[in-house]
Amino acid sequence: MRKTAKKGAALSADAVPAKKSFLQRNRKEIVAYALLAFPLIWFTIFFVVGFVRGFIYSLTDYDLRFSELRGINFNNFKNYIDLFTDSRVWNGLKVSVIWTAVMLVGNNVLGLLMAVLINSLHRGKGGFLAALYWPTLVSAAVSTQITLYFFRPTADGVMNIVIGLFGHEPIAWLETEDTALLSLMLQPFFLGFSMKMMIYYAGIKGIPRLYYESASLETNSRWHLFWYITLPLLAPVVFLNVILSVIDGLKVLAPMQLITPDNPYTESLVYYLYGEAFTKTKIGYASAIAFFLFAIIMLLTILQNFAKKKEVSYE
Amino acid sequence: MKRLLVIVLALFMALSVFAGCGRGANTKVDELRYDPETVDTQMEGELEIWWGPMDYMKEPLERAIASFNEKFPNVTVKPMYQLHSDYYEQLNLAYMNNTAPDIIRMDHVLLQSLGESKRVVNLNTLTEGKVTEMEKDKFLPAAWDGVSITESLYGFPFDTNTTLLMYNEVICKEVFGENYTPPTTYEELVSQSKQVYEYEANGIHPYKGLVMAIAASGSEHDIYVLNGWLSRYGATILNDDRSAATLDTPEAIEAMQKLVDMVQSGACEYVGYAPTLENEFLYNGTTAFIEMGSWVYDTIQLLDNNKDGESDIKIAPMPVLKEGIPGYATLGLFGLGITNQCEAKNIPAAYEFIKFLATDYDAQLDYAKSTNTMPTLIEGQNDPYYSEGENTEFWQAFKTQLQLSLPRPGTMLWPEITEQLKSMERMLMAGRYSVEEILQNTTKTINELIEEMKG
Repeated sequence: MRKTAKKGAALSADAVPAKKSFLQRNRKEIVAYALLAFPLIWFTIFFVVGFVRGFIYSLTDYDLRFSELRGINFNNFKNYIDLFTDSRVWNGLKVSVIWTAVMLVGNNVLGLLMAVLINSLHRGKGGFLAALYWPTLVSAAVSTQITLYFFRPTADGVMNIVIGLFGHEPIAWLETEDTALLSLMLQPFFLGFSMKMMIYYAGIKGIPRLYYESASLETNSRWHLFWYITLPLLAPVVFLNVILSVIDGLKVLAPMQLITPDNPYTESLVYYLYGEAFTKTKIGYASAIAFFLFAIIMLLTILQNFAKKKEVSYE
Repeated sequence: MKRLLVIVLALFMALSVFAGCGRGANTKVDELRYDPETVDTQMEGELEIWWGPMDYMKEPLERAIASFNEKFPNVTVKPMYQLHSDYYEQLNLAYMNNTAPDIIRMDHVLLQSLGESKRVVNLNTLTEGKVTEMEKDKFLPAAWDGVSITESLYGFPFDTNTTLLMYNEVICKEVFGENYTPPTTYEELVSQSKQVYEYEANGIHPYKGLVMAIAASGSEHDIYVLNGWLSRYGATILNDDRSAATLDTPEAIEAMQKLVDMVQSGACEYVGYAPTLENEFLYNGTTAFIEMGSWVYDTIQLLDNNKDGESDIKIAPMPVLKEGIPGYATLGLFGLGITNQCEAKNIPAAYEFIKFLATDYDAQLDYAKSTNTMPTLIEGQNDPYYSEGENTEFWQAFKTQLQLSLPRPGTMLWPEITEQLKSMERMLMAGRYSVEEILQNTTKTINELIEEMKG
């Protein structure tokens, strides 16, 4: 603008370009901020506001049942102190950690294995990817019914028919302490790898062929190629999938809520939190549990970041 | 300029803090008054009501709204259909966000709980007691009591039900012969159930005797059954003023000991997932006895394994478990309440609408018949549908049992108490501690919760 004005001084008055309006001058910024506004407001409403409100609630005795009678009062950190002595919090955490560990290992090992196998195919990669991704498209309601059908406590349940062949009495798989969590985990363990597989597959495709060609001068062993080339170069993808698995695992709710509601042997921390918040309406206490879980997930993510020693570059 | 845009954006985001705040502040329910004797049929109002989503629930409501609008043309009633499975959780969420509906239809225990916490309008306060004077005598006393706590009335009773002993006649005749008669005492129940379980045909044991939902997940059916079982021994869960648990009384201990004995002897099987119970009995035809309500009427007609054109399922009164105490069952009851988030200007319309639904003969009977439940209007009990024709025997038995049905105790702590009762049942079935120890421990825990609530 300044340059134009200087040049303009030497020209006649008619040749001076018209001064740009405010909108014209800031067009790019306005468009950028307007486009940003929607996601940011959306994010603010659903995350930032929820986060701040939740934290404030966690410092209060907010209980819908008593809020009309006693109001909502700050109780300092009583909720946080209480949750450390609440056995159901620790039981819920135990269930969530077991779930996370099993899914982390199962989904990632199977996902990586499938991705490597599909990548090694000469034909039909797309077909296999589509077929193995398909379980992700099945709705939670349908997969719930499948699990319930498999683990029916009666003699005509699929698993009970199987053990019946060996002369075993029917088992209430989803109800008893020894089998409930195990039964609940079986389907997501075997069928929950699809998304991880896609991410691993994309990661493998991103590894330049140059490395394999150079390495093939040294060895023809597929195992060596996988161990010394593929896996190290997939480290960022593995890191991403592990973080996703930990977050998904620790906040697990749907299988417990849909398949084994009210069962203490499968009560995850988030399911316990849900009951405290919306059945017992102890919003303050439930918020404290939510922040406790948030702290655990954040801590684990930070630790994983430390564990990831260095970035891998393909350059 | 950029700074200005950032400030505007930040302002928008700050304003969004208030997003999600609902329709306005809660109505001060204690301060509102409405005189039901001077009804203005030209009153205006816009009401939202939460209702069950099945067609057989929706259609009677839609007909009732049309009928109500003939009398109150300026009142708009908008139904919102909510699943029963998480109705209460969704309602609590709506309360939190100030978006609760004006009118709810709820299990009476939860309606009482909402009333105690002032989240539904006390109709006696609203009408200065006139509602009780004008309407109480029209209803079954137990139903009216089921939506009240002492002098407070938290809604109108709407539909009711109870349970009877249902038995599979084909199984029973196969095991006991053609002249079979259902059990009337604890001893007969245990004996027959055990015989069915031990019955052998073609080298296998094809049938189950009595199956009960105990420590069940997925519904409150087990607590419903537990309340009836305790009642038949003269025991209760809480005392009359709901200020203390009464599970450590000799009556309660005896009731639970008998239940444990029955399960341990193999006479009774229990399921920990309530829908399994219904499916097994109603569709598979391999269970001889269960406690079940009239709402399965349509389904039981379908079970006809011997192809004689008649349902295999028959009904019998609840067996007497202890001499001198009638065969009680649990009262099932749904009531209609006005939430404290109903705007003050809509309160008269809300009151008139729930009164219409509950007291209009056609509206109440339409819903009860459609859902195979029973009306709470005394007059409705004598409707030809419930007293004449091919269903007479079925409904007569349920109407008789209804007179012997006792409610669960409504209290703000019901969710916690339910949890404790399920835990108690689980421990009883595990058998690691004595019945007395478990019941004393449960009583102590519930009493601590009550004390904490008072504090």
